[in-house]
Parts: sequence; structure tokens; C-alpha cells
Amino acid sequence: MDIRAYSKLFLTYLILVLLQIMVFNNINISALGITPLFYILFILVIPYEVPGWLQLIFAFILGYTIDIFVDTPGLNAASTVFMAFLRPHILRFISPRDGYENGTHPYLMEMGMSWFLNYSIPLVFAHHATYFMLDSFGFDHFFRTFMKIILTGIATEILIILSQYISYRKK
Amino acid sequence: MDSLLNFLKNIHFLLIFIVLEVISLVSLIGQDVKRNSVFYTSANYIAGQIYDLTWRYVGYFYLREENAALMQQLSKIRSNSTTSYFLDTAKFHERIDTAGKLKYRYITASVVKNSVARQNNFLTLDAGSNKGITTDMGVVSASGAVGIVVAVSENYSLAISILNKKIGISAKLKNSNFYGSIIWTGENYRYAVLNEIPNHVELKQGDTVVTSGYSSIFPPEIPIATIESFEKNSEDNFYKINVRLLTDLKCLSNVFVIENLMQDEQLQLESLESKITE
Repeated sequence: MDIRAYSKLFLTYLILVLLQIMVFNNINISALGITPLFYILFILVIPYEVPGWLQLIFAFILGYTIDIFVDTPGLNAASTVFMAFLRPHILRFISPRDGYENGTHPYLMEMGMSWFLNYSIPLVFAHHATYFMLDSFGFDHFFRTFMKIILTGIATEILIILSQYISYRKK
Repeated sequence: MDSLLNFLKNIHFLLIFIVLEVISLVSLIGQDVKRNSVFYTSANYIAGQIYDLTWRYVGYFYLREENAALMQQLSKIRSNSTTSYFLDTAKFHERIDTAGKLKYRYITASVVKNSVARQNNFLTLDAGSNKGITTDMGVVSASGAVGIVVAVSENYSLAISILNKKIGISAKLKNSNFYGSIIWTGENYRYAVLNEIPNHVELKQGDTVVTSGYSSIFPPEIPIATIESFEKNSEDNFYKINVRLLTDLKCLSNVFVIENLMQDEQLQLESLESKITE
């Protein structure tokens, strides 16, 4: 990991935070209030080479930035940190037979659709489950919280997959 | 010593995870409605600038509803103006003297950030201490009450929305003056519940609920909601009332912030209450 890779990551962070607060937070589907949490794409695209503890800190900074903008101190941070905590475990679980090659990235176009779905769906839903359960502080209104997790998760997942097709450039 | 270092090396990932989660959860649970500093809220300078920029474009989407509400308000004012009255000089009329002291001042502001999706929602307004806004001022839209200011920076202010489970707004029935408080249930952003109305009061669907004026924040008689449904509760002697909020918080753009010029006086007097009962 050189300085170029880190500055690229920082740029990704800026773009995703701006997109989330300027565009996606204004989307509100149905009376349940479904707002896609697209910014968590950042955690999915952190290169494999970044050490785990640094991934946790990146996730915390990302979550807390969003929290400042939407006045929910700690809500997004707690969910993104949990997601970053799970990521190495998921990566190990679905690793290709020879491990991850140097110079490859966790992108859909490089790793293939089925790998990417196995990778992103558990992480997105882990994040959303933490987020909505913390938001409603426990398990009351269980059905409504459950519906929110499922529907918002689907919306976020679709956007993340679309973003993979839009942003990928062939080398 | 070596084995201790090794142990720490092995669990550093878990340790950092736990530390970061604890920081997040402590700031989430310790979240106070009144903020000491605006820096960690959306009323800070950078957030305000970005929301301003967004609002310049998103604001257009709400113009239609906004115009309708303003036209309605205007028609109400027009119909009360002197030109709308027929002057009947032949008869004797009793007049009420309107000479008095100004108690409420209305400051206009635009909502630059708003949400309805969470359990505890806040609004950010584009007017702050530069326009004379301070904390504990009421926020109303053209159609009804929407929130209370909780933090102020120079150019922005943060208001707790009526769609926030942490506040209740003191309210009364317009017809009968029985008072209670309106609290959001966190489910649908158009509906809330009205508590503390005793069972013996007669209710009708469609009755208006207005601010009580007891709280020193809102003037009395500002409409908040209409009664949607109600049922008698056998466990205690109070109704379960569902009310429909008059303001659609999802398309809120221009609001008034209400300054109560006699708020300090009232609060000072009311603070004596606890001293006397001691």
C-alpha cells in the first residue's frame, strides 16, 4: 500500500460522504422511510492490504462523519465499525483456493458476481441490522424494524452493485 | 513479558473493535437533546454550507406544497383585513381595545436539513444567533407546530423535530381546553398520539389539537394535529388518541421561529415554584 492508494481511498471517502448527505439522504421511499445507506460501499472497497486495525479506524471515522451531518452521534459509527470487524472474517470464509492475489481488489468486475454477492450481502445486512436495532433501541416494534432492515438493505445492495458497473475502469 | 506482548498482538484487532464500539455507544446513549457545543452537530459551519448548497437544488421539489400552504395562510389574512369587512356605521358596535404589549415575534427561516426516517429526528435551519434565535424557541410551519430549537450557531440552528421520541409538545383540545401532550410513536411520520386526555371528555374525529400555551415556548392556539381515531382505555382513565399531524414534515421548507419576549420573566417566576414547595 503506497501513498497513492491511500489518497485514492481518501477521495473515495469524500465522494461517498458527499453523495450520502447531498443525494441519498434526500431519498425517502414509502411511509416506512427507506433511505439507502450507500456510503458503506467505502468499507467494501478498502484494499486487502490495509491492516485490520486501520480498517476499523477508517470505518469509525466514516461513520462518525455521517453522524455529525445527521445528528445521530455514534449510530452510524457503531454500525460501520461492526461491519469492518466482520469483513476480515467474511473475506477469509469466501477466500479463493489460493488466497487473494497481490494487486487485486474486492470489486465485482475483478472477483465475479457470485463472489461479490457472498461478500457484500452479509456485510450490508450486518450493518443495517445494527443500525436499525440501535436506532429503535432494542427489539420493540420488531416487525417494523425487521422490514426496515430488509427493504433498506435491498435498496443499498442494488445501488452498490450498480456502482460497481459504473465506476470500474479496465486497466 | 513476551507472551503478554504476543497475546496483545493476537487480540489487538478485537481490542480496537471493542474500544471503538464503546466510544460509539457511549456517545449514542449519552446523547443529550440539549447540545453543549454545536461542533459535533449538523449546525456546524461545514455541514451548514454543504446543506445550503444541497437545499438550493432540492428546495425546488417542495415549492408546490409550500405555495399551497402559503396561499391558504394568505387567504386567511386577507379575509381578516379591514378591506374584507362591511362597515355598518348605523348600528352600535362594541369594540375590544387591541392596545397591548408585543409578546411573540416571528423570525423566518428555511429548513436546510430534515429527516423523518429515524426515531429521533432533527431539523437544521439556516438562521442562527445572527437573526436573534436562541434555544427554547418554537418552530412552526405555515400549517402547524413542527419543533423546538435546541442549539444555535452564528448562521444556523438545530431544532428537535416533533418527530422525535424524546420530546412531547404540550397541547390541548381546541373545543374543550383539556390539555395533554403530543408524542410521536416513531412509526408513521404523519401520525402521533395525544396522551393524558381523561375518559369523560367528548371527542369527535377531526377535532383540532392546538398548542396549550402553558410551556412558554409556543403561543397558545397554534394548530398541531387533528384527531384521527380514539378509544377508551379500560386500564386507566385516559383515552388512547391517534392524531394526524397537520404539517407534512417530509416536504417542509420554510418555517417561522417564534421568540417569546416574556419567556425569561415566566421562567424566572416558575423557578420559584420549586423553592416554595421545599
